[in-house]
Amino acid sequence: MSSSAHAPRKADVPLDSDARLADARRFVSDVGSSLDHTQRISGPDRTGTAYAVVDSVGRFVDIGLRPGWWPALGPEGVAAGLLEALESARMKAALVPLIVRRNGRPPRSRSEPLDETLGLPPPGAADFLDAARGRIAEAYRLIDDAGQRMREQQTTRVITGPRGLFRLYVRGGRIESAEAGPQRPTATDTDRLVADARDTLTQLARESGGALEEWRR
Amino acid sequence: MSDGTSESSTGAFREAIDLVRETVGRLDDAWRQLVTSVQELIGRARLFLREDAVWSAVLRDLPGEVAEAIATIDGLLSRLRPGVDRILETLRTVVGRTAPMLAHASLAAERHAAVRWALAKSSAWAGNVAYAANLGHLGADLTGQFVEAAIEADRTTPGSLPTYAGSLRRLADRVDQSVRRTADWTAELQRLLSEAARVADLR
Repeated sequence: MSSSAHAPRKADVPLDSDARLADARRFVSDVGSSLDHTQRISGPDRTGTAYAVVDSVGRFVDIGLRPGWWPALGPEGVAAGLLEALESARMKAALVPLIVRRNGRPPRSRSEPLDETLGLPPPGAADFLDAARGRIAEAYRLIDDAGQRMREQQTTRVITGPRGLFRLYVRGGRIESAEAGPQRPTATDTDRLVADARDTLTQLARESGGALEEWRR
Repeated sequence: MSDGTSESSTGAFREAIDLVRETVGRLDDAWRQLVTSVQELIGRARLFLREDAVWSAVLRDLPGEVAEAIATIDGLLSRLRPGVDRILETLRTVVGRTAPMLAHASLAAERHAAVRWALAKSSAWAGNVAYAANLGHLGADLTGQFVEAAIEADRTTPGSLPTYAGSLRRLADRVDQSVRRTADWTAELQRLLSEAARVADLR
């Protein structure tokens, strides 16, 4: 997530009062004492009035606003606050292996996906040509799929919530920025605004799943 | 094998070489995209190192870890580059060398029944199909891997930079392995092509 022309201003909070600092300290202490707490990870924005929840690998789970968000963030800062909360939660999820390693516990090992046997039947076999053509067709499918994903990655698009109160600017699966709008939220729009943010992020998470996990394995 | 099988083998070989030709362009595009995404990731990580006050106050060794991961990723990109260049060069060479051979064999088979018979009996031609199909498949698989690695780079946060470095290291291992395979398969392909050429010259 990064700032852009669409990014609303962030609240001006001194580091001592930054809700993320106290939250980070608690988190480091909690991870040190128990790994079970990391299955659902929440993170605040700097004001502590926006929060987001992700799973242990940083996938979006939920997002919300606490009482006091209107004076702390207002309509201009609420989208940035929500994204900052999501960024905090994802940062915490990402840092678990580092914290665990500091505490002397071994990181989870991963299987090596290096084996890629490309055997075909022997050239004299009756099914050899069919198998070779099958290999060629499979390769074209891989190429087409990669081409489609590459085009998606290069395309910037906007995901707007159904209530018109929150929209995301996305390139590929990456959030570039967010803003409240096109309708301007009011102080009484909390539930509708949060629902819109949740819907857009859920849609993005749904679209982004699948193949990426394959590569991670 | 009948004459029909001989034609079918020639056709399959042509399809396999078309695949290799298509793969070269796609692999090159995917590699360029991966380089761009990784460089942007490194840029975001450097920005994090300059601007973060929260996490560096809580995890004192985090800036060092991120800086180390940046250096690792930078090094892996340098390690990947020559391997990718070699694979691309090898695949281009395969396409360039097989096209005239394919034309010659097809023409000879068209004109002489003895050549058709000899090609159909020769396992060299079918071997050519296998190696060319595998080369194309390898290029297609790597293309997919590069695109996924680029997408993953776009989604990586500074905190998960060491994890991304691990993924990129596995990709570099795969590329090293692919360099060896393309070299081995191409050598075999050239040997079999020579044999097929000798067969095609029979009258």
